[in-house]
Amino acid sequence: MNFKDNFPKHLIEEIDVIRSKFPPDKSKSAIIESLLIIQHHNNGYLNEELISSLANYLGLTKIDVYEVATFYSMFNLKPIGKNIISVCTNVSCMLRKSDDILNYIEKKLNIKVGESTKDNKFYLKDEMECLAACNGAPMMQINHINYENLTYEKIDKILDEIPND
Amino acid sequence: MEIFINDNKHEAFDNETIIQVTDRLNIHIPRFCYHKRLSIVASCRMCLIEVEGAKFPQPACSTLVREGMKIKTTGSVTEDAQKSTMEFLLINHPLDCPVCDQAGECELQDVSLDHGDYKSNYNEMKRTVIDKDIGSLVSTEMTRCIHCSRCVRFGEEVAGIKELGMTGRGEKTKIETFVNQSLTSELSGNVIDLCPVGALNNNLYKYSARTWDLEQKNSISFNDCLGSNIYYHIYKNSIKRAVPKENEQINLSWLSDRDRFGHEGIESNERILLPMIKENNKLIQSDLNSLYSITAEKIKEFSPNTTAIMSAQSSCEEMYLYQKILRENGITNIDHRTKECDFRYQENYPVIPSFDIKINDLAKMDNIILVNTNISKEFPILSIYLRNAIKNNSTNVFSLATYNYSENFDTNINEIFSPTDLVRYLRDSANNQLASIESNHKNLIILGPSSTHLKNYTEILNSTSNFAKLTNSKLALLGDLSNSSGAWAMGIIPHRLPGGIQCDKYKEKNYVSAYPSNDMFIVYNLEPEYDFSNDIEILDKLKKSKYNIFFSSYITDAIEKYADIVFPLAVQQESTGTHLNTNKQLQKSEAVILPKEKAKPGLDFLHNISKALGLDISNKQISQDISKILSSINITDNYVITENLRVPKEKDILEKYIIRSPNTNNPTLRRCESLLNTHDADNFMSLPMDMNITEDKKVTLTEHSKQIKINTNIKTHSKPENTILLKFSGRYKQKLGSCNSVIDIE
Amino acid sequence: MIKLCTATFSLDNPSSIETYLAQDGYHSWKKIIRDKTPKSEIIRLVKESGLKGKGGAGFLTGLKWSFINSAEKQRYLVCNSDESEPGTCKDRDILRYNPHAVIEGMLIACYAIDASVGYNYLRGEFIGDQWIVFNTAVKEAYKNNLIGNKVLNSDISIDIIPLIGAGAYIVGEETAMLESIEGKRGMPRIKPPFPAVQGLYGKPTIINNTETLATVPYILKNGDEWYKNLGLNDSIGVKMFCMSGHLNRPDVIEAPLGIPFSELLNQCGGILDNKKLKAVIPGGSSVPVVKGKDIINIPMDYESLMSIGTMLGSGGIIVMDESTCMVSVLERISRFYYAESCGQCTPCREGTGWLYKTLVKIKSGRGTQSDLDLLNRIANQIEGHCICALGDAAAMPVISFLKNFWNEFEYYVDKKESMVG
Ligand SMILES: Cc1cc2nc3c(=O)[nH]c(=O)nc-3n(C[C@H](O)[C@H](O)[C@H](O)COP(=O)(O)O)c2cc1C
Ligand code: SF4
Ligand code: FES
Repeated sequence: MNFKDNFPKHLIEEIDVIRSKFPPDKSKSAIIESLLIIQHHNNGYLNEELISSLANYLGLTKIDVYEVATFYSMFNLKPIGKNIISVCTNVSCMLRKSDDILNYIEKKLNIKVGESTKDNKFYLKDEMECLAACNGAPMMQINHINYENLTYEKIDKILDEIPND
Repeated sequence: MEIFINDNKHEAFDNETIIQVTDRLNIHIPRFCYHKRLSIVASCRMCLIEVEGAKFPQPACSTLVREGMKIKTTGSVTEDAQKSTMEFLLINHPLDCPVCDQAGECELQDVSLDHGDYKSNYNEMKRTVIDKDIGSLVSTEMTRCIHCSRCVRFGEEVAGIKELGMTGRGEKTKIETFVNQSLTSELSGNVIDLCPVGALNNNLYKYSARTWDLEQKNSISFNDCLGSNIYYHIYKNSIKRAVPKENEQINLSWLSDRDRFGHEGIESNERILLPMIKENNKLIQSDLNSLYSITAEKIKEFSPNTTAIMSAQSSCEEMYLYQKILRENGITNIDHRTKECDFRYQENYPVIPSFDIKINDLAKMDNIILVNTNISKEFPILSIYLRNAIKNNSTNVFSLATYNYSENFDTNINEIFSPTDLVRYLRDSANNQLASIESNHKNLIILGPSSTHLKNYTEILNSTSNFAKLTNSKLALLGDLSNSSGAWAMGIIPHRLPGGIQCDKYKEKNYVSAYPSNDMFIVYNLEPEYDFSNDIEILDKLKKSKYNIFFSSYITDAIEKYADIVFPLAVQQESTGTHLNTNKQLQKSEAVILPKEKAKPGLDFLHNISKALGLDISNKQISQDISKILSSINITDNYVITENLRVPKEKDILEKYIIRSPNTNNPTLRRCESLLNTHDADNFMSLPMDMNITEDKKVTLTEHSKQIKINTNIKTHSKPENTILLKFSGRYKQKLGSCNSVIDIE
Repeated sequence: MIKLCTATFSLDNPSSIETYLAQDGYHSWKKIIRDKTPKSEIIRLVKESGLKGKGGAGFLTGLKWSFINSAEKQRYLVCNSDESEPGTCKDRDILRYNPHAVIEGMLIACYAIDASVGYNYLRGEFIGDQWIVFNTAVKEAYKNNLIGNKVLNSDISIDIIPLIGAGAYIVGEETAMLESIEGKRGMPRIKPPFPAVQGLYGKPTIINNTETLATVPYILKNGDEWYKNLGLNDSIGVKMFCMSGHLNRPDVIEAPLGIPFSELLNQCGGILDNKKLKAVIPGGSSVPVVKGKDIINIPMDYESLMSIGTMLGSGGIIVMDESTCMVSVLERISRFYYAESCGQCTPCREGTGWLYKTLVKIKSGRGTQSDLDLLNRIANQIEGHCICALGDAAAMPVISFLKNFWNEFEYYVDKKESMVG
């Protein structure tokens, strides 16, 4: 997205829906969900301009929005690859060898966690949280869809099937 | 209720927190995040103390007292808890006390001596934080930050502009502004005092002294009519920094940036440090004795055709003696209102213009109407009171202004008019938004000093007063300079003697009308280029007059050119005197530093001149006279009702006026580089056009044969209609003439 | 087999309103609206049923509701679907397989506390699945006039509004969740005031876990006595147990409270590859770990687990076999709390990092005996010293791992390798 102070109309509409979930004088409440939507429309990341524009639109200070954007781990403040992979490596998954899964993906994509592939197809998130699928361990999310009970073969299939475009 | 602190019985009140009780009793509990004027977050965990019956130590700052509660501020539970918090704080805190400005007054350092363990078991890498530039006043060393969040809360809760925020999370939490934005609040410097460590520092003071070498002296602010109380910290006869001195009636625990950084100019190389006299068109060094006798001679020679003007930043003593010398020698054209151009109101003006209520009572008002004053910028301290009134008392605030500005508090109504429309609006109050103001409410109208610069000030004053009367409102007239009230009380006006006594011996009604018959000017702490409503005219007069005597702390081109003699005036911080603030409080300030080189306090010069004129009056006598004058004044209200005023017509005269940054309001402020480097040091000229300004139109202004071309498309303002707002170029020099000079627009 | 929250799980199209209605769903809600059941009656019933919060703390739900500050007109309900405690994966299933039970539970709670709005806050990572399902369910319920303006043509209006987070474990803490809904950083507030007095936007607010609220319709339908008696022996009610780790069939099992641990183990097909049970964390990663032999015969309820020095917490049961390296597990747990500390309290902000870095050091073979004492000391300096329980959550595992498996840690710092290889 490339714009200065105004969001495109469809975004404004989406943000207005979010705002309507809260009392009229509580526009701050709309920050988190609006940022998620804006990020979604901006190749998965936020920048200063977008944060400023949202602050303007919601009538808040920029630092208000920036504070939030830096607190929650799903906001990216730098460009990232198109498909976000989060491999859960928390206790339950770790017990079922998620570290090997992560290693396997790192090798396969030739990147380390926190990096994006050269062709910008994948971003391997440094996921610290438990993704609440402990009974399906080991698991990962790609673009927030769960893939559980992973094996190397399964991973190959899943990743290979993601289109290139 | 009764509670027990360290086994001693003490009285406590409902809804008090433990720390409030112990602070009241002077029992020490360490703290970082707690500050009595900020909300409680209880996050630093430094104040943990033993409370009998609780499994874990409790934070004293947020725990409310209970009947019979038993608290221990010492003992192993309390001490262990505090020691561990300290240990946690220090693991990521740099050990750079030797190069830290805060050393010696660092709360972390103090507390760690009292409560910490010297040896740390932490062997991992310490966190480092990259520093960011947040403006010219506050410098940062964020690696030292201990995340107490006082600075963030200050912005949100006191300054009313959230600029510093907490970003990141967990150990990576940082305090910063949005992508290196500079602080814009006029109260920003207070975060320096609030910061318990050396993370937010005074940029002026940075590395200039060690705290333990400093000497602390009392003073007051000379930058606005509130008279905030200040401690100056002095090292080797130079002011290293200013910090607030608590005053519950004025500045609470805060200082405006102007007051905090406004001493920088004292060190300017434009200071005049020698007595000077003009020879062969050049000012050369002279000696004071010669200047005294010349001044006495010239006063005798040119009185009564002399105009004597004096800054309202002078002390009451200077003012009293100044006018006494002059009046005794037949000079009556005395004035301080050099930025004004409309004097028709003056006969009806109160003896002392003042704030009609105690500042603390602002929070009790139902309605506050601000007329032409940008409180957040001009009176940052007042803005704190206004915010509190809005927050705690749901006070309605109306702002009526002649130009567009923003405030750090919420206004219910924000109207922008041309000066003539402002008068019309006030007259027509029954039929507009002001109609909601009823006389059985508690109402206050605050008239800002910049109104006095307008050509229709008398009409504004009159209609404001009428409206105030109609609605049974209090009227507050805010002064332009620190001793504006004093100037009226001490007779620095042509038509009244000290104490407001009518004086019928004056010839001219004001300093402007005195120009035609002028032989001599005495200019006291005023700079011809910057302190007058019409600089071009005053420069012209100075050129034509036969003799010009200046008392000035700084040299300017005009003084260089037109002064015949110059007294090297000490600045206020180098002088002793009293100032009358807008609440009619007479506050004394002692000289905090000795005058530089040959400069001397104005009162010294005036005493010597009076002796040379055969008049001897002691300082004691002056003080007695001043107290007598002040106690004799019968102050009623501030209403100024003037009959037979012209009713403004629908299409009235267009008026050009200057909007000055409060940061350039007096000679010393004009030389504070760091204040001038803030976003806020620009002066503007507001220029209404008697035509519809279309985009991209080129307009040429001619003023005193100077031609200025303006491209209107970027500068047009929607309100007041068809107005162009021009920023002055240059540091603080105005290049566009002044309020009431004539301009032609093509 | 008892099925409350899981009632629809194995049906076709489990999340649709038709499925739920076919199970006699919204029965309680319709009855309440029809009979104009007094609010106090509902609160009494929930209180007497002995329903305890399923989010972690196990506080009596009915009692919590009765604390609502009735002096304020505007009140809120918040459903806590942030499910982030490691080892916990039950709310995600309720949200995607039985969303209408959550909605009905929220409606009943809103009615009982007189809240006009109920927000359901889902963790950000649910955006791809549960978020979509739950939003659809809410729309269906609106369409059926079960929510919204003049519910079922009565004079009652309640809105149920789904909200989504953006990645922060701490937002699961109830006051942090309120901050997050207010659009701020999720930093827990100091208590008191408790949310029931001053919650969302300063107004009285009740916060309950997804499972808690989803249980409510079943209690209202079948009565307090019924629910009470579902538990085994002296225990009350049912709970969803999230069985993860070294199991043959990890699963989420809804079972009576008081069920012996061995029985849960059986239902999951026993330990993976027939290995021996070594240790169990029975309530999400923040509760103290216990040795396998100490828990195997213990009934799974609040009191019994307390008696062996641990807690039921959120019901996230992490099972570890004999091959598990306890140093590695603790390092991983510490990494989590370090990454998720909100950063406001000094002990938690600085201490969680110190714990984690020390464990990394030990794991990399650079640890010493004194580091083990240090770990204990840091943990004890954090515990009980913070605003919220995340500090405790970071400390308790460290203390319990060291206590129960001290020799394994000692071995590690001595030999620079794991005792279990
Ligand atoms: C650090 C922390 C994280 C928490 N995370 C969750 C959570 O993810 N889900 C949840 O329901 N409760 C969580 N809680 C518990 C909530 O604070 C709260 O007690 C609960 O939502 C109340 O609901 P209940 O009474 O129905 O259990 C957490 C508490 C703490 C201290
Ligand atoms: S204990 Fe940790 S997570 Fe909880 S409020 Fe304090 S810093 Fe935040
Ligand atoms: S002063 Fe009490 S926690 Fe900071």
